[in-house]
Amino acid sequence: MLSFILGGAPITNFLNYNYEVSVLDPKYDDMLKSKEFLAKFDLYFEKDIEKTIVVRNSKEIMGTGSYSQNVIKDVAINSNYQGQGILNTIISKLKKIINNEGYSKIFVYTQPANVEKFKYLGFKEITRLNKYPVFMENSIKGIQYSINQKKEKVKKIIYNKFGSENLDNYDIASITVNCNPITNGHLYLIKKAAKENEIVIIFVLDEDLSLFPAEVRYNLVKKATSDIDNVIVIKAGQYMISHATFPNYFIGPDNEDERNKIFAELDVKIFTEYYARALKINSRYVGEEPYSPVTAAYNQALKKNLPEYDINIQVVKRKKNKGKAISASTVRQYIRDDKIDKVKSLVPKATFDYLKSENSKQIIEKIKNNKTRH
Amino acid sequence: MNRLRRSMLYLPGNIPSMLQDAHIYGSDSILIDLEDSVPLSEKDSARILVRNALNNIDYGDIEVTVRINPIHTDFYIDDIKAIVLGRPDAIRVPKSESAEQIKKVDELITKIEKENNIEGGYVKLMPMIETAKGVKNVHEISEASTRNVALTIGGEDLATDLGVTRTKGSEEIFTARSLVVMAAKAAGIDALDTIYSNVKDIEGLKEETKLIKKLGFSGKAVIHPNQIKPIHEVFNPTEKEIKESKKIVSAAKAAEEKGLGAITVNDKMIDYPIVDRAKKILSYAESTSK
Amino acid sequence: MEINKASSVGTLESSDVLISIQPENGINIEIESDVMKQYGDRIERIVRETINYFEIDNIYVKVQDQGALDYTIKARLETSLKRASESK
Repeated sequence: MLSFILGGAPITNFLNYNYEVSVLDPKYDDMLKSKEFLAKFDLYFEKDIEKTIVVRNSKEIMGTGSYSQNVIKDVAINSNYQGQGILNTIISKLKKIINNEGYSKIFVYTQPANVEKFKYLGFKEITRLNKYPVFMENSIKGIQYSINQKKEKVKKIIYNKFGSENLDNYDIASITVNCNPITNGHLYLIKKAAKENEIVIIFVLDEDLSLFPAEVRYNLVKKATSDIDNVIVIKAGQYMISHATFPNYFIGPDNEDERNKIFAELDVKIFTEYYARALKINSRYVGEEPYSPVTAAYNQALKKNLPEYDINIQVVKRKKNKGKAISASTVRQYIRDDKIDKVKSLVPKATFDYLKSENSKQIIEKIKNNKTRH
Repeated sequence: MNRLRRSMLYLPGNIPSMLQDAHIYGSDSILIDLEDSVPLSEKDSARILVRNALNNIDYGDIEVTVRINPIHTDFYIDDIKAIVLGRPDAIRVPKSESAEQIKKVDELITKIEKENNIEGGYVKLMPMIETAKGVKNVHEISEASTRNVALTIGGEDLATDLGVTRTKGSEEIFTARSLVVMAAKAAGIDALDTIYSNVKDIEGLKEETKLIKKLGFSGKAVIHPNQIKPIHEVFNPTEKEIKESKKIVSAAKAAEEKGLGAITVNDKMIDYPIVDRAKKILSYAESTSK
Repeated sequence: MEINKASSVGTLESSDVLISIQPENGINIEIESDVMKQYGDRIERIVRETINYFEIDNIYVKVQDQGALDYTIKARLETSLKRASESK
């Protein structure tokens, strides 16, 4: 009678607990009961939650699950109703909603206890921290595929430039940048790394949540470094400081130390287990972070975790202009204030030319009307 | 004589392994479910899976029935459109409350049978009485369609509708059960009882089955294979009953051959209804012994 | 039929199959199965026939088979195609 036991418990769904499934919107609906329910599992609603699925019967909440963009999180099932397909119901609905929004990849943060169940629903584990979360994805072309693509690209470029495509033969460093837009501060960091290593790979973040679109940022970095022979610029992809791997970077609850720490660790773990391993990266360069607590927390996580994987971390002091560290946010502020000419000494030619060109008009308008950090 | 419906095994419609193994458990029918065991966002995938299963799996002599979604939902139309193409023996209509609903379902099935060269009237119906309103209208429901072959009662939902809890003694649904039997028998169709939710309590299951057999039900729905045998044991005629019936039937035959009007067995006069019942028991015994 | 979003149907339970599809140029089929040797070709054939039947020219299909029979593969695939071509 094995098939009548699914996930360790008899199938009793026909008994019709008269449950109902509702979709709550944190902007309008009363989330109090759901909050209390989640708290029992040591979870709480993240600020970026778009919608929450709640399955309840006349007595109580049986289970819940939420999402933000294509990331499922805050999933919890009442222990009285385990093994009854409630998780299946919730995830099934969330997958549909997320696919309908146009996403092909779906991520989830979950507790270790639910990992097997998510595997049945087609999720594969990417990595995990000790207690929470386990980070999983449901994608046709997952992280392994993505990393392999990047590896092939890098190998090709290196082969063309240096003759051997065996990455073990090189001293490879990496820098992860947003470059919103690329400044002389960034360039300083890049040039230093390029001097001290045989090859420097620059990962440009792919998220389009910054004022300068990802494509523009990427192209500017490429242009600005085109004269540095041993620099390779590639797109970071969805698995590096993205809304999926490090949401706090974007939603910026700057004073949530604990959460910053957790997500930073997770992202760094992905970097070391996938990117660094595949691309044979032996050191990572970062600019010192005087302004953002989130970035500072991230650098802390790097300092803590990279040595465990034998990866060198190099924290480089920011280049100064007139006593102040050059930062992209300063550049954006000048743009906001219509003082583009003041920007000239702070950015590479590529960036300045772009700001002066027709192509940047829309973006400049956007910056002027915008008050966000990014 | 109606086909045997002593036990009907519920199966979740969206799980392939269960649809495939269904017939090995020995129930008289299977009840493939598209309603409560299938989450809302999987209704579409379940109905296509079931349609395909019906068309590809050989269930032998088992009666294959499918429980669609209730008429007040958006799903039942697509359910019927897909499922009829698989030619199930019958469709269970949950939360039936009026003759009009059953007629609607009947018409839709007829339309699809016609469009697809399926023998008209092939797919039968089993309205489910699960609400007070359903009980109130049970007679008109039972007569609403020539496809009706059984009336069934859904105890869990009924209790909820009545605002009471289900108990081991089931007093709360006693009257409803009787009314369902009345209506079924008046319409010349079977009455089938609700599930027994405590799968570990076989004794309790047997007690309840004895009760509903007394009331006139022909069978009971089942949610776990180990409920099947106990239910069959209750419904099957005992050795004693079979012996008695054989006596009565042969006495009736002998009386007929001799042209006698009265039949006696053990010096007692036997009326024709008793002979009928004896014949039924023997024919029942024959089918259950297969 | 035009595939305009991703969808996935089914599970990795025994006898089931998980079909994931997303828009992509051309017809791309990826199959994972414990019985690739014996059934890989057959599974691919079923997928191609179904895709042809629905007149789809551009799609990426990933099949994770757990010993599903033909009727299950067809059912999950059909459902996932319908979901991926629905308008919002």
